[in-house]
Amino acid sequence: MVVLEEPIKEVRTLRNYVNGEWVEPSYSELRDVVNPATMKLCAKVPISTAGDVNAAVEAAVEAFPRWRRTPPLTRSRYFYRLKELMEGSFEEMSRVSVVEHGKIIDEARGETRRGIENVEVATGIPSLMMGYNLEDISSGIDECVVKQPLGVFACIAPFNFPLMVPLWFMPYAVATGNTYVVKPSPWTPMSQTKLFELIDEAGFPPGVINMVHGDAEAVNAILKHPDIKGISFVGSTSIGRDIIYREGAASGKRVQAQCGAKNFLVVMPDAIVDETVSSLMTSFFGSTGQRCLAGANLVIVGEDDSFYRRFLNRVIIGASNIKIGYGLDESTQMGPLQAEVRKKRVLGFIGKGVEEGAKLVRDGREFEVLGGYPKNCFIGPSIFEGVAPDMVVAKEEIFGPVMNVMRTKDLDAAIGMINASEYGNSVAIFTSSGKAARRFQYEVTCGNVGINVGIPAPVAFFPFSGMKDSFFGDLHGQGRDAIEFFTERKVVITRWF
Amino acid sequence: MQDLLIELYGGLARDDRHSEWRTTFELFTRENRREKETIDRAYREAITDVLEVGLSSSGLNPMDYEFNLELEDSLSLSDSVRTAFVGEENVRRFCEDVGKSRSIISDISRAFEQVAKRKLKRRETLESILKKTTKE
Repeated sequence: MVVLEEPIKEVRTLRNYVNGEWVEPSYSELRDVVNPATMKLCAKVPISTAGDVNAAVEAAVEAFPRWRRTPPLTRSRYFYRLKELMEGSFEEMSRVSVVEHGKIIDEARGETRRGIENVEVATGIPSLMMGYNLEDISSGIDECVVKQPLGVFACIAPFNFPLMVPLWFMPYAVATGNTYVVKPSPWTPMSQTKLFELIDEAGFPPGVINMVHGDAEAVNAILKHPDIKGISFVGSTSIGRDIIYREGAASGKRVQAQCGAKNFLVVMPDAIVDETVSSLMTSFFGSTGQRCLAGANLVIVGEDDSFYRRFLNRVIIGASNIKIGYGLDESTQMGPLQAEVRKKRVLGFIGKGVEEGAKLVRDGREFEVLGGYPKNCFIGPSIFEGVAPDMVVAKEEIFGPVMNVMRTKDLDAAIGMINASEYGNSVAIFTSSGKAARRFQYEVTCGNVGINVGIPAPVAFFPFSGMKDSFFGDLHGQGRDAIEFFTERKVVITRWF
Repeated sequence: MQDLLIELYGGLARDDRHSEWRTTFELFTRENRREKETIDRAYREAITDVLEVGLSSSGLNPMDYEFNLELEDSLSLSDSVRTAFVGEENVRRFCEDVGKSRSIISDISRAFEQVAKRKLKRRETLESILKKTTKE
């Protein structure tokens, strides 16, 4: 058991980053940031007021005209510098994510890598934000489209990928000439704080990128601020749909809200079993189930009872072998849930599943923790068998390491079940049949589709898709979608006398 | 393994008894650090693919390649170089075997292949140092 060195040496009170300076906000309260594995205090985060948000937006508004006139190539060079700084602090940033979120170190490194990839793509902005043109739309008259930035954008970030998610949006917004305000989750604010230390070091002009810590009051201030042109949100469907999208759009803002999920993973009788089981372990239990791409419902297709039983036994054995512990211990395979309140919620769902009549074939409420850490936030993998699609555990997002196993007689029925779900974030099929895979990808109403891939996470140059109650808005984060979201098309028709 | 070799070369570079080889051993220290960084970088760039795509591989057993370096101040130059030779050969074998492995994703196996090639050149350099120091 090798436990890596802790990245946090002392408990600090975090600050906002506004107009190129670290500032003490006029906070309404200070909240504890607790390491869910050790239950030790890591930092204190200020819950900023509307006034703090207004100050950040004001700085961003003031910085916009000059930043917008900075050539795209010059803007992209800041991101080259930021990328190198992030590579240099790769391990430290990853360990900070472990400490505040609870994920294991390799998951945190994966998160850091994905964050950096978005910065890398943003350095291509000079090519990516080009418009198009045509001469002689009428004789002697030319027409072109240019993509222009709009002003100030903001991001309301979730707790579960505290470093990566703002990077789905901010680099594209800023590289295209906008200015920005990030509001990290108050549960996991240290990763963004570390990133902003690097942003400061990269030398972005004051006011171009700002950070305000906070909770509901800060969110409301962002929603209502007339100078914010658009909001990117990642979080629950209830908040994303009913508050962010509704109120944001009502006040004329562009909105992209990536929301909840209940992801189906379908296993066909011709799936390659070893690789499939390995993928399922990462999909269902990686990040302790706290990801919008996590598997939730495992659908084993076919009427072959012997295949079903053998496959399920392999899955149960795989889950039972997962080592639970502190993420900085490199031998750990699953960390704790991010907070006690999240564990309570997951326990509630497990109880509900039992009440509804699903068979708990692996009970995650009984577990051992490597290294003897306090059990407050830890939980083991749970597996329910005999789950019906109308059960609460099959329909509602649990956001924990709980696998619901279902059976269907054929692929038709599996696709029907998937399409009946309110959510449409991600889905996967495990099969050796190209025909089945093509049909699956064609017919499912889900944004991110995996064919023999358990976590179909789009890389930075593709959009992070989502459908139905998993996404609200028109344009997604990352890639070309992000560039379209953060710019407006201006059409210019020219004639010279 | 690289860290042990870095420590060995660092000690040799600082040793006044071998001052005529100082530049060589300082170069070896820098090169070994760069090789380590090459592997670290390949790991950091591939880790997400491994986790998300669920790549599994039957890895090598590192215990088959481990070695102990006895870093004694009293060792002669030729004995120190022989010790380094053993260490470098173990690293070269390990990197070569990883480089050949088809089950490990290509970015990682390519990085190890690169390091294995550099270790071949290092072997030649160490052999020529050994020849010169043994004559002396």
